[in-house]
Amino acid sequence: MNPAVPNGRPGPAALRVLAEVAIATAPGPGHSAVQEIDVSEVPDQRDLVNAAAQERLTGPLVRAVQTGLLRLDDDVVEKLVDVHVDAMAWCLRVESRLWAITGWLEDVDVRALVVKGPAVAHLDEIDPSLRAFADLDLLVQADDLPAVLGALARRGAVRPFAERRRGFDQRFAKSVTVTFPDRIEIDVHRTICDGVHAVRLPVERLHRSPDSFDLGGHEVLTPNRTVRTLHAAYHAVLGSPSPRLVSLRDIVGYLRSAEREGSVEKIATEAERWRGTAVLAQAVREVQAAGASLPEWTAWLERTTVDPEEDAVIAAQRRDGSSFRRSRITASRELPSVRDRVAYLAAAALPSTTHLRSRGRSRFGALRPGATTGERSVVLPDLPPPGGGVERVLVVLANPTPAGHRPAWMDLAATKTVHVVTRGEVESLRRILSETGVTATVTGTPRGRGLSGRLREVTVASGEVRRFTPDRVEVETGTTWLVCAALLTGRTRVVRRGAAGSSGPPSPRTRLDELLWRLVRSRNRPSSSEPGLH
Amino acid sequence: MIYRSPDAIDRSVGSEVLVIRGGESEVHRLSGPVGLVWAALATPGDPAEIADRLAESAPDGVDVGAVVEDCIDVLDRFGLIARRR
Repeated sequence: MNPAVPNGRPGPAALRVLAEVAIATAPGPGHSAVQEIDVSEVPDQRDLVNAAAQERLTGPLVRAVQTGLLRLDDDVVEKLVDVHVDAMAWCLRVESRLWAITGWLEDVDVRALVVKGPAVAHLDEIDPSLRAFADLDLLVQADDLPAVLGALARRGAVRPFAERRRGFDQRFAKSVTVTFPDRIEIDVHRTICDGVHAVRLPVERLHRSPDSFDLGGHEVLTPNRTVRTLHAAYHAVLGSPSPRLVSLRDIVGYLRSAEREGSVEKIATEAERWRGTAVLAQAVREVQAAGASLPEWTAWLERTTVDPEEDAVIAAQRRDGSSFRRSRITASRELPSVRDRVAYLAAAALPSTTHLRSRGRSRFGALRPGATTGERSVVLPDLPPPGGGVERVLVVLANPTPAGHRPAWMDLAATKTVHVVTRGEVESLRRILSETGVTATVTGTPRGRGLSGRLREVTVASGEVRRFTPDRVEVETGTTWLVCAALLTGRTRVVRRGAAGSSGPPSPRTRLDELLWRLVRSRNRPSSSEPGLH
Repeated sequence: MIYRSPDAIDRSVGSEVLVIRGGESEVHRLSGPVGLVWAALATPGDPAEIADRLAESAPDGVDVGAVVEDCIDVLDRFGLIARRR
């Protein structure tokens, strides 16, 4: 049995070494010149395996060991191989689903291009095992979006979040995410990024002259190499405040290939068409900073002028991510018509009730500035993608310590463990923590959007759980964290009973208690005849 | 003639191979001789041909033909290979 992927946050030394490995093993000329990487500063080599699993870089780490770039202790290598096998087993399951989807989409006469993970693995890597991925990304024409979502839904895929407003997906959305019961997640893309650059990008160019690869006898289409290169840059630069190592490694590979093939100018010209020269420039700067040597791209950067306002657009996009904040107003200004702008801003400001409910939010909450974030007090490090041995992700809430005060709900044991299995649940947790002003540290969360499912288990150390099933939870008075966990599921009904089985009204002792029970009452209102509800 | 199932998708992981059939969820981990036979089946052939390909790298005293037959049985059981006359 393979060991579970380790959960702890890797140390800086391990991440530094892993960054070197990522760059050194990226496709293209250059890595043969790299000398042995020194791991002596990594206090515990298992930390390196942990980091590789979290960054989806077990393949490159295995390659580094195989080629003598890195020397690790035998037991660490053994563990690395096990973790890598888990990662690859998951990738094969995802590819098996891709294989099936190609047939399903043929049935509805839709052409989809696969982007990122499997495409990079099969077409741009030295060997597919060097590129791990957590989910599947399909790019389709906007008009085909309903047919694709319908085909996936007929095979059991569920859309966790409803459309923002009617027609939004086909006009403005970057992608729609659906999840299968076996936790395989599919992002069905209309385009490849959010915000200003999504408005600028000529989507039809993403579909031109596609490449293909064979997958179990099925031809799988993917955008051409120029598009894949720019997509890697857009994903790394616009997708998060700081790109993941696996994303940087992708870019290094593409940029090295462009130097080798003499296609630097071709890619830069395409970036101009996308009005994304600043994005490409930032991508080059990022990989330079990570230590990649790219002489032709460095020369291109030196002769290229980037408007500082464009850098500001990128900074805003990185800050806001996929949430609807200030950068979206900037994006709306670039829409071609007043009608589009109005529709876009309406969707941003007034998402449908169905959409809000699917995200566990209310109209009031949606309009409160910053109500969806809570980053102020919550740290969310990354966990690895769901490998074969990872059944659930733990979110451990360290005991908050309000100065000079010990509220009643802290009478429970010092650490409560809640198993959180969807991004929506993590976001709900962040929101609750933010709204209650509780300072807490969340020490784990699903990486990217790779996990899905439902809350399967709640653990509290106080022994106050009376009964828990996926659909119903019964708790004793004051078991606030269990209530909190139940609320996070978005599906679980909560029944509150008194300590002796009585059903008297709760007597809130803290602000958190009050809020949670208000939410419980709100949740249960449609069936208020349930005994014990108030 | 034996060949890999056309819907098989595989990954090499060190000295082993992981294989899944398109549309299925069960991943097979092929270690040792089974992995070698799988690798040899990159080019279809009959059992004797496969054994010949592997004979050079086999340790002395091993009945390569018998091992190959056993491995083919295992692969066949899980639908990872197909036979053609």
